[in-house]
Parts: sequence; C-alpha cells; structure tokens
Amino acid sequence: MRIDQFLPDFAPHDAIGNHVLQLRRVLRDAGYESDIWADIIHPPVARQARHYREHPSVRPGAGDLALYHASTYSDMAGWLAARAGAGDRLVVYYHNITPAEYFARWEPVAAEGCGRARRELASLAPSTELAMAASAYNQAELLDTGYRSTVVSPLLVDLDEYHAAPDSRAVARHRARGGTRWLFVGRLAPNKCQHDVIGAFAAYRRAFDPAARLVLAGAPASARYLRALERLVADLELGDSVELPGGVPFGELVAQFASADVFVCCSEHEGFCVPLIEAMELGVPVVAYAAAAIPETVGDAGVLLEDKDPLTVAVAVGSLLSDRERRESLVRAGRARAGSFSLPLTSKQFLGHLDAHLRGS
Amino acid sequence: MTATPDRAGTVPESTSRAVPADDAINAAMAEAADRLEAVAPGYLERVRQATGRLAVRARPAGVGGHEDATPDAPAHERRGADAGGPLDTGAGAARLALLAVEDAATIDVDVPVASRQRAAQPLKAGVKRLVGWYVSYLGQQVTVLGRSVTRLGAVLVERTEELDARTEAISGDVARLAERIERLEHPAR
Repeated sequence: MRIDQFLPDFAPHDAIGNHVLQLRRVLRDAGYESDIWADIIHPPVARQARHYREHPSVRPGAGDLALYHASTYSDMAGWLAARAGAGDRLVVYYHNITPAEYFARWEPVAAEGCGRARRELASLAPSTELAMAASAYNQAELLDTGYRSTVVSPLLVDLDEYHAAPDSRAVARHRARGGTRWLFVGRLAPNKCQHDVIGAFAAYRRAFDPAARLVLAGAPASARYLRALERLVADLELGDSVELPGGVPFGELVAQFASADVFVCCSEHEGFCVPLIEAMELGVPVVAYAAAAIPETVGDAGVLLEDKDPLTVAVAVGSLLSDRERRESLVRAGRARAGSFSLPLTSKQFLGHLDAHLRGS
Repeated sequence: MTATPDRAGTVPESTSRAVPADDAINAAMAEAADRLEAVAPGYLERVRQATGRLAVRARPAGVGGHEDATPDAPAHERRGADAGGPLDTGAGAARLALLAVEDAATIDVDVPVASRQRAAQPLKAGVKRLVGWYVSYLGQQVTVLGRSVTRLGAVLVERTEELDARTEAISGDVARLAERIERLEHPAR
C-alpha cells in the first residue's frame, strides 16, 4: 500500500519539512511505500521529492492514501480533491494557517493567500477521511471548518539533533558582551508579535539590566514588518542591544539557545510552535503569552502570561531569573515536557492513529 | 475510522495554567514601574504606545492598519476605481490602491488572436505580426512608467504612514500640554 505525502512548499530545516522527512521514515519503516511530492521544492531537498504533477495516476481499487500537509494555499488542494473523486483516499495533516487579519495591514497579497488557504482547507473537508492536527487548538479549527473525523498527532521533531555540541566560539562570542540574553526564534511575522518582545525587552533593560541583549532569530515573512521592527528598535533607543540576524543555520541556532538565559514568546497565533520545544529541550526557561496552541505546547513547564503588557513580561522575566531555584525547577520541568514530544513517542502516536483509521475503514 | 475528536492520549498531558496576579507579582510590578519611572520618566508609556501601534488585535482605532482590509481587497479596490466608487482614505487604503496599480502596471503585449469567426483568426494573427514590434515598444515604455509610478506611490505611502504614526505619538503630548495651559490660565478651575 502506498501512503504518499503532498505539501505545497518543501523547504529544508523548517518545522514542516523536517516533519515530512521524519514521517516518510516512519511510514517506510512501518512497511508502507511512501514518497514526498511538492509544488515548490527548495534546492537542498531537491532529491527528496518530486513535483506533484508527476505523480502517477490514481490506481482504482488500490486503496492508496494521499497525506496532504495543509499550511498555505496551493493549486495542489484542488488537484488532490479531484484525485479523491477518482478513488484516492485523502488524509489531511493540519499545521495551521495564519489568519489573514495579521497580514492585511503589512502584506495584503499574503493576506489574500491566507484567506485562499483557509477556503481550500474547507473545500477538502468533504473528501477527507481523516484529519490530523498538530495540536488540540488546530483540531478545534478543523472541527469548525467542517472536518468530521479528527485526531491530534503532534509534529515529529528529532530533539536528539539539538544535542550536537554548539559552536563554542559562537557561544563565547555571544556571551562576551555580557548581560541577560533574551531569545525568540520564529519568522519575523506580525502574528508572532516580535514588536511585543522588543517592547518588553525595552522595559526590562531600563528596570532590571541595562546590559541585556535580545536576539530575534528568524527570516522575515514581511519586509514591511521588518522595517517597522527596526524603526521600533531605533525609536526605543535600544541601539545594538537587539539583534535581527534573519534565518540562522542550524549550528548557529543551537549556539543561540546555548547562550540564552530566557526564551520569550509574545506570539498571538501558533498552531504548535516548535521553538518552544527546542528551548525546553535545551534548558532555556520559557516565558510566553498564553495564546492559541502555546499553553498546550508549554504545559506546566513555562511561565504563561495572561497579558503581554511590556511591564508584565519584563517583570515575569526579571522575577524568574532572579530566583535561581524556581528557574532550575522550570528548566527541569521543561526538559521533561520536551521529552513527552520525543520522536519515538510522537512517531508511535502517529502510527497508532493511522493504523486505527485503516483498521476502522 | 475515528468519528469523534480524540484528544485524550493523543497529545502529551497539558495542564496549562497562567501565572496568577498575586500580591507578590503586584508588588514586583509596582516596584519595577517605580524603578523604571525613576530612571526613565515616561519611557514605559512610550514603549506601550510604540508597540500598541504595531498590534494587529486591539490596536487603537485609527492607528496603523486598515481594519476592513479583506483578502480580496485589491480586486475590490480595482472594481471601486472602475466604477468611480467612493474614495476610501483609510490608513490601509493607500496600500491597497497601490497594489491595484502594481497589478495593472505590466502591459501584456501578447494580443490574443483567437476568434469565433474562422476567417478572422488569421487576419488577427497577421495584424499582430505586422504591428507586434510597435506594440511591444509602446508596451515596454508603459510598463516602465507603471513601475515608476508604483515606486513613487510606495514611497509616498511609506512616508504618509510614518507621519501618521508620529502624529499619533505626539497627540497625547499635545493633549497634556493643552491641559497644562488650561490649568495655568485658569488656576481656580
């Protein structure tokens, strides 16, 4: 039996790309034939996938299953719906789609894309046998969109990879400047609210540690939002204490985590948020605004805030870092929490859902 | 097949909780606010205003984005312009109008030659071949003009938004000054 994976944009080193590669391994190990088919295939992973239009035609009666990763808009959605009509069985894995309102102000074209992606998601509901969600938050959205059969199956992340020794020179370079190091990792996007992290950091610097530094690692999803962040840094007189290094290579990412004192997340919309797991796995305490899927990802292993006023966040970070015992206890809880998302566990969960579905049908 | 949401056992046990605003936290907040005010008077308020201007949800009315911007707004904007509809001057309207210009700025010189009348098709193809060089030349110049206009528009929109943001930032100061003048002029009130 074939279980092929389809995704609009296959990129290396991003949460969805890594998840898809891990799933292929899990499926093949379980005895299924499985390949990856995408619309946009980035050069570093060109050998791992083929364009979806090259996929062989439907084999009627073969019971083959198409696993579609929904995260953005694509002509692939309509193509899959047509194949489902011709006899392919369809399973959707929902990573979440950023609500258009977040981009309407900054990138109206991207906002249009978000709206289209949600319409496509809804259009696939009638022909989908099973919809998997990265979180219960995503599952609730699937149910609202009209999906009937849904399960939660967290993203597959190989946390062992993060334990490669970080580049000691990079860590030394980061540490040489002194001061508390704040870190947030994620695309520079309006829904992730890096502006709120900058605001809280500005308050923290004046009230707690004038030598503190902030790193916002992540490629910009909007050039206009990036410019607004740069202006904000200048307006708040933060000088070079805020670094916006863009997307960083994996080694540098590990070094940033190894150098960080706290991971601060003010995001308003996340379907899962892998960087939270990365931070907890690597012993960086988490302070986060309790929105979307963040509370279920963090669980009891981080400081969750009901509001993200700059002073509230700054005081939460200040109190946590000044209380060594509480900080250490949170780091321990974080490691345990990350362990519950370990690759063997999440792989087993995924296969369990798939097997139950195939047996049931 | 699973017919109902199966949350239990499918995701690691989540017992999310928010940190309660207890007395200790309130005291820490008050202490930090005092410290901040002592070292940088008015700074916290500045931070709140500056970040509030970038917020998507619950941002102050009239600041920043265009609340009604919908995913298909560029097309809507174009229809509005075609129909001579009312001119929207909201904060995000300029960006949407600019998108419509950008969309229309590239001239397609590859004229379609299909026709329902059999004889017309080769005729159209012939005319296309004859005047193609001329149409391409014109189209190229119009496209360059369109892109230049778009660029000018982008600069103006960016500048206008900056001025809007600054105006918003100083409006609070102006109100406070007006109140102070009022008190100075009428101390008894």
